[in-house]
Amino acid sequence: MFDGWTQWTWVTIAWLELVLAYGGYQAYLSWRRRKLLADDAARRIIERQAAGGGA
Amino acid sequence: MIDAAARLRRPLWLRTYLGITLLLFLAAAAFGLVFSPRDVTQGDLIRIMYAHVSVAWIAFVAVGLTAVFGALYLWRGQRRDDVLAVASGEMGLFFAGLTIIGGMTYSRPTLNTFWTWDAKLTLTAIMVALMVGYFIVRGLIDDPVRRGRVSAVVAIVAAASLPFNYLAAEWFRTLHPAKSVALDGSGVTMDGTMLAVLLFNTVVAGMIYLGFMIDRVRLGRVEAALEEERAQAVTQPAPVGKEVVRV
Repeated sequence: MFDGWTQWTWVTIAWLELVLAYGGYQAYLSWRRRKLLADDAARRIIERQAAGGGA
Repeated sequence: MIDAAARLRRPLWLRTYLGITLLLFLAAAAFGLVFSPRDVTQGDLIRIMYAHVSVAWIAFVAVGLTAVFGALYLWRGQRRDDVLAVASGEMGLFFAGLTIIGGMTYSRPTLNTFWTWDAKLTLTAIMVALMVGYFIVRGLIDDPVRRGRVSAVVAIVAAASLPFNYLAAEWFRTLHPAKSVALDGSGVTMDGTMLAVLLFNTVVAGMIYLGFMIDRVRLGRVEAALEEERAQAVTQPAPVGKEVVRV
């Protein structure tokens, strides 16, 4: 399957891996930030309700 | 109560720094893909080397620093060392995983195989497995102090493999090529332009490591602060006369 691939095909794939990894890690960090904020907001609502402060 | 949203917002200097690293990454790719000469034996495949070797070196640095920060946490017990260790550990896993994938992409057209269980590749796979284990351990332990201590030991074990990995191509029969540049800069067996492109790529990979690391540390600090806030809320006595839990 891979025998017909040219040298430039492999070179392009190798560099695309870096581009994808760069973008992927940025997206992952962004997701972690959003999740952290959402979890924190949910926890504060629960705590307020538990303390009798209402929703 | 901490303002998590404000603390998570990237400051202008960090956004600028990350923007510059992105531009430098594009420049490094241009140097590797356009300006580097073709290799006599590998032809254009040498252009993969710049992506693979620079990332591998930074993976070693990241895993090594994870162990250093872990050791500092064991010694001083300060939460910030654990936050730094986690950030560097994530970078270590990121770069080491990329090293393996890039290495496979480089190996197939040059050595006619994606993978072989020789010393160098096996040690790298073990390093990645240990870094995965580092995060599994962290996910299994709730107590932050115990979590930091146990994972620090795992990081030190992972880092202990680094010298063997670095010298594996010389010590053992392996498909992986021997190093072309020694740590002290001696023993250079590559063309001067290629070496310059490789070093530039390595510097840029290091800058990306630093930028991602700073971003991840900022997230880790907020996570740690929220965790401490939650722990304090649990240990504080309930106000007298107030209903604590409504069912």
